Amino acid sequence: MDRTPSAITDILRGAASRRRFLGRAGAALAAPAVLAPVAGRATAAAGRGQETVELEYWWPVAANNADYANMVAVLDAFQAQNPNIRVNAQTVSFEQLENRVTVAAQGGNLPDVVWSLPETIPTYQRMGILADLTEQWDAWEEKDALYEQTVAGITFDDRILGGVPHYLGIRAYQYHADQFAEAGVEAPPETWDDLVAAGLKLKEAGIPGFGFCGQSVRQPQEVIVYFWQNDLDIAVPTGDGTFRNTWTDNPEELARATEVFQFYYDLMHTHGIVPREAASWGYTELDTNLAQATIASAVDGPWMVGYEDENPETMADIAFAPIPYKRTPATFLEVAYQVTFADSPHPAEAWEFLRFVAGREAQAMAAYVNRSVRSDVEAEGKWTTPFMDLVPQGRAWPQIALGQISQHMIDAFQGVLLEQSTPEQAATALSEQVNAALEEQGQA
Amino acid sequence: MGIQIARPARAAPALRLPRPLARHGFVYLFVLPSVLLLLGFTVWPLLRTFWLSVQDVNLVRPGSEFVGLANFRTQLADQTLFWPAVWHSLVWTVGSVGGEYLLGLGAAVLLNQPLRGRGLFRMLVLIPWTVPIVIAAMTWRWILQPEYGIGNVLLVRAGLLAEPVYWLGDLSTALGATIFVNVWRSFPFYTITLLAALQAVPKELLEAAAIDGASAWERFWRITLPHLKGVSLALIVLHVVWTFNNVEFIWLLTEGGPLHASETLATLVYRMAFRTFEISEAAALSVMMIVLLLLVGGGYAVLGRRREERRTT
Repeated sequence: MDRTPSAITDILRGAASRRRFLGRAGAALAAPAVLAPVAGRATAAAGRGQETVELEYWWPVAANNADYANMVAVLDAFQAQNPNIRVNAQTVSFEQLENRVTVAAQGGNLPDVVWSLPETIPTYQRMGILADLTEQWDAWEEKDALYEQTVAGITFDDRILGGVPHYLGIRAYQYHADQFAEAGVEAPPETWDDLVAAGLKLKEAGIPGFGFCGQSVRQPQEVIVYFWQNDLDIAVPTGDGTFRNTWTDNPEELARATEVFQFYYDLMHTHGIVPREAASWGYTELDTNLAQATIASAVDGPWMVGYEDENPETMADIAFAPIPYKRTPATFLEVAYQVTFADSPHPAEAWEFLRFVAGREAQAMAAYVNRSVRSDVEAEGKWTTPFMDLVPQGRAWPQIALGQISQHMIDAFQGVLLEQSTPEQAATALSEQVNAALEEQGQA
Repeated sequence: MGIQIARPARAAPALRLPRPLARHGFVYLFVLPSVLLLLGFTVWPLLRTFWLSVQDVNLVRPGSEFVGLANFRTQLADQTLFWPAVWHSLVWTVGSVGGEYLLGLGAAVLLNQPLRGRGLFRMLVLIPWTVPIVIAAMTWRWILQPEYGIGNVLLVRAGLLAEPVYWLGDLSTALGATIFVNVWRSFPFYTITLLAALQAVPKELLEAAAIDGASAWERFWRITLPHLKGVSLALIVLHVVWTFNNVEFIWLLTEGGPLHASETLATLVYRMAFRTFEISEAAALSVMMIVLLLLVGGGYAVLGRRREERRTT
């Protein structure tokens, strides 16, 4: 089969010299300026008389990422099967992806495909930039193999907008079994009360029992789980695409929301189970502290496997359990999507790429097999089974634009953790801020 | 027979360019690209920002409407984010520029002495300035970590701290720690610039003052420092503008946190535009920042003119 490997994969395999790569990079930089007015982004494939389409693709996979080679292998496999489509992958960090898409959308120069986090999809939908893929989706034979929860994030009024799920980052309770044993904690905690009890025993043994994020993109993803576990949501649909936070409408709900804030406050201040510094931790600090066993447990994702190489001793005893709950077991499904846009000049090729990465062949490859969005792809292992077992209790964000709301969630919890407001004040303020944000966004 | 002289046929009137264009056509041609760039990348975005500031545009809500000065009023009435950010911007700018100037001047005076290995020291002092901002910020985040940061370890071992402090994560220290890191990174620029100016101070003046019995401090205060005035003013004004507008360093170190404790106007604009998509309110904030900086620029121009007038009289 004819292969059209990318310059990046050539370098990875050592098939291209650095000079050649730089030459290609220079050509790639110069090419759009020269060719765009003449032939759009399609170029003639030399010697074949066949048109090669270049798909501009933004992804957060950097060359130093543990998954890089596996992810590049997926691109290679796609290009091997589609010699007339060349995927031009550009690395953009997770933090910058949404910004870049927002700016590009304003400038009318969006790429063809972007790797997107679940919380960005409703924002893009509100911006009106997502491609309507309903027809292609309906005609796709493999669609039923995808987990229902993963499809919910791209379903708007029974239409499939934007893209396909391709990567599942399920959160689980991760703990250092040796530290638990040392402190006399026999089993991982099942409930919030168990977590406090275990944390107190660990504290007696001089080990900080638990950690969480006080800020960063991870913080809202962590705290939403505790609201779900207390039978609440940050916003509930009220019909016609509108939403509302109902905590202040109902004293019982407000009490349960307050419980979540109180739980966080107690873990840090009343019981001293969580280090005070965690009020300002981002995900790097949380992951590093868990990997180095500076904290005995945290709610975290399967990407922690990447820390095993650097911390083989401290990561050796890591074990998994469902996230301790209050009323209803729940976990966060971080579903990554491959998204294409309404203005893409190559809709057919973009769909071809989307369909491939969510297809069985790609999902069975090393890049995805541990985090597959498909129920017909099964894998076993320490870093797979405990996470995939939690899919049934997995939940995703409501379909609201989260920009302002995420910030309000971070502010509300930091206010409590830094003792600037009480749990009840924080719950009330957050409820009001969420509704104000929904109104401003036209979703109230 | 008389000789008839044929009248020459009337020549077609030549294309007459306006006199300035005819005289300086090539000059205008050469200037044109810069003017176009200026219009495209400075004037147009500025005008667009002004226009957005009087609109109500939120990227996640379709449509927009003219709202006059409402966005400005909203910001000026905001006691939770806007006014703290104004204060933090002032502290951040004055603290950074003041610290950079003092440290830069001190290092420049030291490096102007006939020290052994002066060339090496001059090279070493440049290192913080040459480190890319991202790397400097990431390194300092690691150094200032309470759990595994080398900075805290050293301070505790030296007995200067009883226990590690989360410098970038504490409400009371976040802004100060950010200023400290910024000063560390930027002072070499002052050092090198002031060192060049120091070397231009006439040595005979200093020698004459020494012979007349002036102390080292008096020579510095009455001769050296006045000679640095022009360079210092330019340095300070430039850095006030750069520091006031700086987003990346604060964002990389604290993201304006915790709980907006290190949030400046610049990071607030970034947050509103690219995190919460409140484009019009971000534009209104930007316009206010432009006005503030124009006042600083205007003050600099007035000072410069007065100085020039004093020199000529």
